[in-house]
Amino acid sequence: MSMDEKKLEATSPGELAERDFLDKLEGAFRSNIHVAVSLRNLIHRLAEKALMRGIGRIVIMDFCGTHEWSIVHFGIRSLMPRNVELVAGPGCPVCVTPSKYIEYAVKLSFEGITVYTYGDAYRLRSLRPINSAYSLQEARSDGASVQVVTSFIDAIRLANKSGRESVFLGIGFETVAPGYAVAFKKNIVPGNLAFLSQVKLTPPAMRLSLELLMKENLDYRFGVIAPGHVSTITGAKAWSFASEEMGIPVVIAGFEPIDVLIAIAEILRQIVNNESKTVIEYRRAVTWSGDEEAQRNINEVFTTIDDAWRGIGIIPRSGLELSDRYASHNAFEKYSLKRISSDDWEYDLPRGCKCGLVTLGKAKPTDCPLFMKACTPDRPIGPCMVSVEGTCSIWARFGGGGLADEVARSLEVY
Amino acid sequence: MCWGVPGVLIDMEPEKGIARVDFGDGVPREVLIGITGERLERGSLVIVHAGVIISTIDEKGLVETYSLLSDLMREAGEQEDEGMRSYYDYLLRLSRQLRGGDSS
Ligand code: SF4
Repeated sequence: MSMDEKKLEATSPGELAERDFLDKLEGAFRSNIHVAVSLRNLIHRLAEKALMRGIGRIVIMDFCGTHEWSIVHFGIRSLMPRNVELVAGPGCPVCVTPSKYIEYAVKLSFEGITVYTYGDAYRLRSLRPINSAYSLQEARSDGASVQVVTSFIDAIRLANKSGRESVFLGIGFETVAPGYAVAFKKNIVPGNLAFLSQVKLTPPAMRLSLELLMKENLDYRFGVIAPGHVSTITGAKAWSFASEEMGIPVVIAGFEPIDVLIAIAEILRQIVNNESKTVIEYRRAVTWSGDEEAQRNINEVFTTIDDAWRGIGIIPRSGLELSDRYASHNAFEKYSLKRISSDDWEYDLPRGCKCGLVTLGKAKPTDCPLFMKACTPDRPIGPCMVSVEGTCSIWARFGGGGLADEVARSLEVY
Repeated sequence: MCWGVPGVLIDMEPEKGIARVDFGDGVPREVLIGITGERLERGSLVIVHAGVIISTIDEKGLVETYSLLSDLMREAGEQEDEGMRSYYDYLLRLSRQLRGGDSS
């Protein structure tokens, strides 16, 4: 099985280029220490000012696996002043895919329907077994028809070729949604390929996690590092509710460590000056209104629904379902699968797993007694350890020692 | 399905919503066009996420990223990163070549 996985990993398009890119990014950061040092010093000065103004604790939340990766990988947490805490929020679509829907996919795969899935969803474990399989991976080793793909277009190509009845497990946030939408709109999805939509929307989840944090920590101040890629589609306007209604500074940041440090400095500056604005640091790719055609395509192909988030519950208007026009492609309709409603939602994480709390930023991976003991990247128990975007997996892979420490140590030379 | 990766658009079939992108290794790969098609042409520099084009960046964007970093490195007396440079150079060269070829 592990050889199988290695092969799958090695063949995914773009991944080699990704690794290469990240290696280079890392090189750049290493050689770019002095900018990081001045930003770090600025952050410390601003944090002191905040203390002098009577602001005790400042919690800054990121909403994107890539930001969290950058924070962990480059050791940015260890550079923060004592009164500034960086917390990871909902940034992992695979992590919040309900157990029930994995069970649906497993069930379909045993009924002779080919299930196309991303590599991390392939390994997601459900609460209950179907034919004794707890995941699509286990279903496949029991002879069910499951195939790992790296994109929807791969699934379309394969389904076209095979002509067999098949389903794509369509996980994602606003970033992939326009890609899914365009495929339906341009009519390139073959009739034999159904779509099990697990597309989730980030702003409602951001609102929920901020509300929860604010309620529990009345005297804290908050800031948001908003996701760069989601914002290229939604535009910066999608987050203005946080700055305008909730009084929380928002900075849309790029992914390089310097981008993240700049975002933190800007958030602290706003807090010290009692401002709350939505600011675009990631000007290379983000505008205020976003990509309007992509938004139109999403609205044409999908409708917004109250959606179930694993371990969290139903969040109002937080998911996308194929609209009636595309009902013949909708796997829920085609196979009479029931969407989870608030009446029948049940807590669906494995016993002891705190992934729901981790996703909401209410717990750190290290708060989970299973973290790196029973639950490791090789033998993940909860979804936050399965997905490469999950906070537990990011902390496990990049959190301990290594580059983070090294960079942090060299940055302490000031 | 994690990072957004820069690449160069080689060709596209807008009527199908499909394009082919070179990520720097010379192998064009099929992707879905998630964004406004008008912003795209042969040679466009794009960011791709999970097989979906999610934005374009201009040459300036790509060059800025690179030159900002290399300037800072030089200032700091650091050596330039050759690998990084050749990666950006390849994308930039390819992008220019393709766009030049179209307009002539
Ligand atoms: S470490 Fe594992 S069990 Fe604990 S919260 Fe994370 S995913 Fe769940």
